Formats: sequence, structure tokens, C-alpha cells
Amino acid sequence: MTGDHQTGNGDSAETETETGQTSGLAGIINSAQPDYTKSTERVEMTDAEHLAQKKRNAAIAWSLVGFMALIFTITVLRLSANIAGGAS
Amino acid sequence: MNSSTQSSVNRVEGEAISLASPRDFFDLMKPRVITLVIFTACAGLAAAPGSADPLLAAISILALSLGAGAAGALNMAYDADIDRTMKRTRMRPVARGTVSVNDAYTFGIICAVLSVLIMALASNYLAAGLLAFSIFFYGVIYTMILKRSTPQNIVIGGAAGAFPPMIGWVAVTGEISLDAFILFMIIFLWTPPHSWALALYKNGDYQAAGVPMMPVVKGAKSTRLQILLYSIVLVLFAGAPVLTGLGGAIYALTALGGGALFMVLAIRVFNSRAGEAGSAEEAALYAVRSGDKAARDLFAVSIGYLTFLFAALLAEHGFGAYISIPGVGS
Repeated sequence: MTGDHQTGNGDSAETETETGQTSGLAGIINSAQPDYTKSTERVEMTDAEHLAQKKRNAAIAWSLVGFMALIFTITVLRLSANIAGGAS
Repeated sequence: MNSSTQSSVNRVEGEAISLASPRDFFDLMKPRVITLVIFTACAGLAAAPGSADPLLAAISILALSLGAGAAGALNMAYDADIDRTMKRTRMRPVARGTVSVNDAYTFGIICAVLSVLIMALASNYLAAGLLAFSIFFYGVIYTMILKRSTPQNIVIGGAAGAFPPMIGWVAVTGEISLDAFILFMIIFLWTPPHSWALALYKNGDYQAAGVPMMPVVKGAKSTRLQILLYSIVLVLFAGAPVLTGLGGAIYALTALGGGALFMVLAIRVFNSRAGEAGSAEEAALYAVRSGDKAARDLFAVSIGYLTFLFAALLAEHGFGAYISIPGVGS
């Protein structure tokens, strides 16, 4: 796995793993990069994969709606407090 | 589902398509830890002088919970290799392979950014800054540096868990006062005896994972002594809110009764053989097992102790149950 690292090492957060990968912060940054050495393939998703993806998409959608509602609520409360403060 | 409803996607050769559910991502956030974070933050928020809009205060608590969840996700992403080797943690989403390391990092970072943003909008920049620092402290300083390098990992790293009541306080007042610092220190001093009690009876797990917890590095006997010393300091320090007037009669009684029970259990652990390897002799094996039970009792009671201390503050300041003690406090 790209994010793996050694345990119990104790010297520093940046260590070289047996596979030559870097752990710690540099490892995280490296692991976020696409692996261009591997080719991509077009595959059919199984029912389970499709269902899991649908559930994740729904969760993201609801989270976005919630986030928008939250920002709207904060804005209204802040504005009304400022207006009330300005009026007094 | 028939084949016509199936989708085709591009994927890197050899990599599996994720089967992770929203529940797995929720589990990444360490929901049980979050409940304690919410509780202590509510106590800090209620105890702070002044008033905040109830809805904005609730949103601040939500932001804090999201931030704590983000720190938990970053922790699980980085510690997947350790978690896989320990019985207690091997069923975590990243450890069992349901959520990939990259997805866990991405999720953690997005939650962290959103939590700080929401906190800044709902309360003030100081509270948002403290939240950002606490996520960084837990996710980077503790998880990536301290945990694998020093037996003092949870002593220093305990600061991350001590921030919630202070952040709750600052969300209302906009400043750090002595009382906010006292709330911080109570959790900071509580963390070592609490965590080391767990480490004593899970010593083998930590040893196998190569985590330099105190019992692994300094031995069980030294750990039991340090648990006792930290417990004495904690129980004494828990009286500080009474002296400043933050805690009233209910808090004082809770700190007194809870502190006495905490000390009895800490002494029991000190006199036990908790954390030591059992020999083939039945008597020695029994002594170790009964010692481990003493450590388990202290671990369980320590959670109750902290909960009751903050519940007392919440009752006194949030529900009007504050009774001042004559001649004590400001």
C-alpha cells in the first residue's frame, strides 16, 4: 500500500520503507500522486461496487446540502445580530 | 440488478474499486471519542462567562466534532499498519482495508478544513485557530512524530484531547482565561493515568506493534508508579476550579468523591502486578490477572471520573445548579 511505513522506528517522521517509499509527510504527498507507471483499464463495476458508490454519492450530496444550510444559517444569524447591534 | 444498470469505470490496473460505505467513513472519525469531545466542549461553553446565540453555539460544537473526527481519520490513515497488528484496532476501516489510506487522508483533510472554516464563521478566529492547532497537534505532532518515538507520547500528545473545553470557552468569550486553562489542564493531567492503565493490560498488543508506550519501554513497575504520581497531581489539581469559583458545591463534592475513588484504584494498580508477564505458576498468573483487572477498573473509572467532573460544571452553569461555597472562590 502506498501509505505504508515502518513501525517503532523512533528516529524521525521521515523514513525510507523496505519498498523504497517515503513515510511521514513526504510519503503522504507522494501517495496522493497518481501512479503513472501503471496502465488503466476499463472495467464493469459489480453490483456491490455500484451500490457502494451510489451510497457514497448520496452521502456526499446530503453533506453538501447540509453544509449549504449551515452557511446560510450562520449568515442569517450573524447578519441579524449585526443589524440588531447597529440599531441599538 | 441486471447488467444494463451496471456502470463501467476507468481504474488503475490491479487496484480494487472501493466498497466503502458512508458508515465506514463515519467510523473513521472515532465516534466514541467524539462524544467525550462534545461533552467536554459543552461544559466549557456553558461554564464560560457571557452568552452566545444557542444556534451558533450548537454549530460551533458541530465544527469541533467535525475537527475531532478529521483528526481521528488522519490518525487511522497513518496508523493503519499498527492498527492491523492490534486486537483492539484491527477492525478499523483502514486497517481492515475497507477504506484506502489515500481516501482516509483526503477525507480527514477535507473535514479539517471545513471544521475550521465553520468554526471561524460561527464563533471567532481564536477558537478556529485553536481548533486548527489541535487537529494539527493530534494528526501530525502526536500521530506522525510522538507516538512512534517516545514513551512520553501520550503525555505530550494528551494536549490535543485537552483542547475541546478550552475551545468551547473561547467560542463564547473570544479569549483564553485562567479558568479555560484549568479546564485544559484537568484533561491534560487525566490522560497519562487513563492511557497507561489501558497500556498496562494491553501491553502485549503495543509491544507487538512496536509502539513505545511507557510499559513497553520503562516496564510495568515504573508505569504503575507514574500512574500513581499523575493520579495524585490530577486529583489535587481537579480542586482548582473550586478555588477560582468556576466550580460550586456540586463540583466540589464530585471532585472529592470521584478523586477519592480514583486514588483508591490508582493505589490498587500500584500495589498490583498489572502489565507483567505471568509465569507458569498458578499463583503468579493469578496475581497478574488480578493486576490487569485493577488496571481495567482504573481505565473504566477514569472515563467516569472525567465525565462526572464536566457534568457537574455543565449542571452548575448550564442548568442553574451552581451553589457557591462560602469563603471560597472569587
